[in-house]
Amino acid sequence: MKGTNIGEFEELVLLTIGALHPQAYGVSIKNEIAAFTGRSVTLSTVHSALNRLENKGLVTNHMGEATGKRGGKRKKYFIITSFGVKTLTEARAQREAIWNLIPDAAFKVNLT
Amino acid sequence: MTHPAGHRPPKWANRLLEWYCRPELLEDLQGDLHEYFDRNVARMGYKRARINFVLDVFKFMRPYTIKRPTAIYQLIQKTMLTNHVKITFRNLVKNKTFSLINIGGLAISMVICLLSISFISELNSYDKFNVNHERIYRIQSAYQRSGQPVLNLASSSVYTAKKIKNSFPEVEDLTLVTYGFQGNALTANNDYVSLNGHWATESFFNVFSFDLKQGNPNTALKEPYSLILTERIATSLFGHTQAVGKTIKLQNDREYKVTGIMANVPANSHIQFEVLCSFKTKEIEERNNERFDSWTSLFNHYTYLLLPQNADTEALEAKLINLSEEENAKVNNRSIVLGLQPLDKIAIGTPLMNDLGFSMDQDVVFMVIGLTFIILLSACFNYTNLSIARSFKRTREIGVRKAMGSTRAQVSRLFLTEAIVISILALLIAYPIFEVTKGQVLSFDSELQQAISFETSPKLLVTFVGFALLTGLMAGFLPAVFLSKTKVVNALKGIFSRTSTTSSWNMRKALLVAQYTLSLGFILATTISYSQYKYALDYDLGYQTSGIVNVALGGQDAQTVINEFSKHPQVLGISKSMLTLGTGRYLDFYGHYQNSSDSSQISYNIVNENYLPLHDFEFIAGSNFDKESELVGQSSIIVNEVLLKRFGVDSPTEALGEQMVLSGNKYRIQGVVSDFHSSSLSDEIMPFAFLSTGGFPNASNTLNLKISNDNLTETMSDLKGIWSTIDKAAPFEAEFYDEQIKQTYVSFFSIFKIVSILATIAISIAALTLLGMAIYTTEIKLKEISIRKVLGAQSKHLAYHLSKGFLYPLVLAPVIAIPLTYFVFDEFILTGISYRAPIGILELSGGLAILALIVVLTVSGQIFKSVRANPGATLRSE
Repeated sequence: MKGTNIGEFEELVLLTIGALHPQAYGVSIKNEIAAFTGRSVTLSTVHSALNRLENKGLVTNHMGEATGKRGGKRKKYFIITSFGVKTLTEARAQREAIWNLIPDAAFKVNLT
Repeated sequence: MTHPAGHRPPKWANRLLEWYCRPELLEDLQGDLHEYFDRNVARMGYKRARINFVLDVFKFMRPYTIKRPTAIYQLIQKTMLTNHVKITFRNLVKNKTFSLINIGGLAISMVICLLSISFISELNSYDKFNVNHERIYRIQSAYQRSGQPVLNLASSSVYTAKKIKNSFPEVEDLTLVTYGFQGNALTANNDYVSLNGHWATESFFNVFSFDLKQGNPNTALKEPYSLILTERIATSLFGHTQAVGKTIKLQNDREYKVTGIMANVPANSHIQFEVLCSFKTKEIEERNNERFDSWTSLFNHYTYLLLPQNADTEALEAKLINLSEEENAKVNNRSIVLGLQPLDKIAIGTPLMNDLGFSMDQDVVFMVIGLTFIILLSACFNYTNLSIARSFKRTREIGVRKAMGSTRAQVSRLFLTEAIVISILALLIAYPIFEVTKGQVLSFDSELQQAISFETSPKLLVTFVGFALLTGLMAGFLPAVFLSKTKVVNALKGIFSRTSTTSSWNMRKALLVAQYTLSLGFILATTISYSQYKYALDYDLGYQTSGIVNVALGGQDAQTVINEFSKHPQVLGISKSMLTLGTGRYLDFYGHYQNSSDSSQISYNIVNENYLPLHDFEFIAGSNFDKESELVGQSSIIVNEVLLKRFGVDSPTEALGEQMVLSGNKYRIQGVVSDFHSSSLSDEIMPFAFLSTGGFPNASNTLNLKISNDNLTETMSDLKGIWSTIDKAAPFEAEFYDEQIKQTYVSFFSIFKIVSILATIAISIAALTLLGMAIYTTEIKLKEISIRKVLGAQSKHLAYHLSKGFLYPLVLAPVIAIPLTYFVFDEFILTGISYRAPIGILELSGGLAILALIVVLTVSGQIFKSVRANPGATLRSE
């Protein structure tokens, strides 16, 4: 299992990439995270997370076409690799397994 | 338009991003930032968006985004460096004259820099051999008698030391050093060796880290009459250093026991001694002196504290001030405020009175650094000037380099490399000169000679090399910036853009003015300091000093010595005095005339009846002292005019026979002499009183011998012979009065010597620059001159045409230099000197004339050569 562990923020970025597919690039990911969670994240945080994900082999990228916008620079689109999908599923399965273990009593709020 | 409405992120931030970011990440990153920027413009306005952009650029500076130099890049760097060095040497050989001028100019100024670097680093090393040097502090005292200026003393009282030791638990340890242990000891072969040193308390070796070779550091200074000797003095006393346990008999017939032998005191210790005697000895000797450990007897004792790590010195100082206030309340008319002085600030620091050893005013140190820097700057100007002048010849090379793909950075690196190579070559020349001259420099000042050894350590050599590299960077900076700017196309076509050449010409002119100003300033400084020195020596002090020899009596009985000396036929007269006037020292006390509430500080000297006639003092009223023997018991004084003026007495005769009270005793005014300079020319004439030795039979310790001018050397050696029959131990200490006065003003002479050397160097460097520029100007203009000549121009017009570039700056230089030099001398160097030599037109214009002469001499040769060249030959060869 070691090596496939990903942090909370990384997981969020990875999920967002999936949600935005195939239009996931730096700014759109940042905006999407802000919209989903209400957290304001900086562009540089997102970029470094993407860099880490890429190094771990969870995402891959390809360059888009140059347009008149963005100072004429091309976009770098990110796609989840199959390893990334596996990691995400595993993380989800782990959580659900733990969720199932929680007895109902644990969530009962005692009002007295 | 890539950005809507022409809104762009800041260009520099964008460039910064491009500079640091890895190329593979750059495009996406930059794109995202730009997109984000556009959105921000719409959301929060142009200004905020720009600020955010800059912030984001900085936020993106993370390890994974920052470029790393690649192997190929490093390889290129290395190859280019070898290439640069090779080209540099080729250029050096190609332009021999210029290389010599550049290297020579830098080398001369570097000698001065090396001297001052080693001087300052040696000063900096002072007292650092003490392991705890950062934790050692000395108690200093600000001493003030009511109505007098504050004296900042390095010393403190025994009382203070005891008080601190007993009631300041935060002080880890304390040692008291009392100045002035002296004695003559008999050696094995019946010679006398004089011992000089201090008394110190037993914790001396706890505070300081002097190397005690034999003996117990904790107990060696415990018992009375214990001595610690340095190895040097032990060897001269016993012939070896195994001396612990031996006894030494000193002149006062006391036996001292040697309890320790220590290594010689390092040269960079501010405390210097050959012998340490236990402080208990001093206490026993002074047991009948109740003032010995009083709060106000603070002139001979030095207290050193060892504080714990991270001690709160501010709290301690506050406690010391409290202590001072408590004690000051118990005494009248005097106040002492104690303070702390770190050991590391003793050798270079604020000047204190009666310092125990060598100390250098930090302002002087800054001045040395400043002057050195100015000299160095001038040599760098020289280099810059010539390099830019030569740029015409180099533009084509730069063009080719750039066309082949050199970046601007690489071209500037070429010029920096050249400058560094030249400065290293200059160092290679300067270093041997430094080694040879350092001894000479020290001989300027006897105090310096003792304090500074100028030893060359490996650390110093590394500093020298580092310094040379820095000099190279400094000298090469402007040429690198200027020349790397050259445009490829222009350079290859041989077009010099008008603006760049004129601006560089203007800059060279500015540099030339700076160099002229500097040279002129130093010439003026030389003349001013020399004329002040001459002025002080030739000044009429109000009494005669020529032909008078002052002999220190030591402990000998005055009458015996007088009797013996007066037998010599060449001795014309002998008088006795306490103080040698006119040498900057003075004695003073308080006194008043008829009105006892109006008292004033009065300088005095105690002399016998021969003193005033022997020195030709001019009596205005009254008469000289009577013969000493008849005067015992009664007290007369002779005063000067200023004293009468001070107490409002109009005519000198009126004062005769009147009574004065001086320091509590009554005196009768017997005579009045006209004013004279009792201290030095730095001070105003003070109210002065001569007291008769009749009232103080033991007070005078100097004999003044008037000797005839014939056979001076013979007379002196005779006198020495006579002295040795009277005193077998102490040497004959005699000095010509004129010499002693000369010694008083030796600081002016030192300043004169130093600035004259600096002036010579500044002038030589300026002359080198001039020579270089003259050679170049004539070389470049050779064709122009030839054409002008063919068209009928006269030689004198051509000479004027060529030389005006050098002459105009000459007009500007004095406008800057004269007021500046005058200001510096007026504000800093001659402050506190009451009697100054006038600075006249002659001195000022003399300096200018010297400079003009040098300019003309350097430039004219080149100009005549080019003016007289045969235009036919020049034009045909082109």
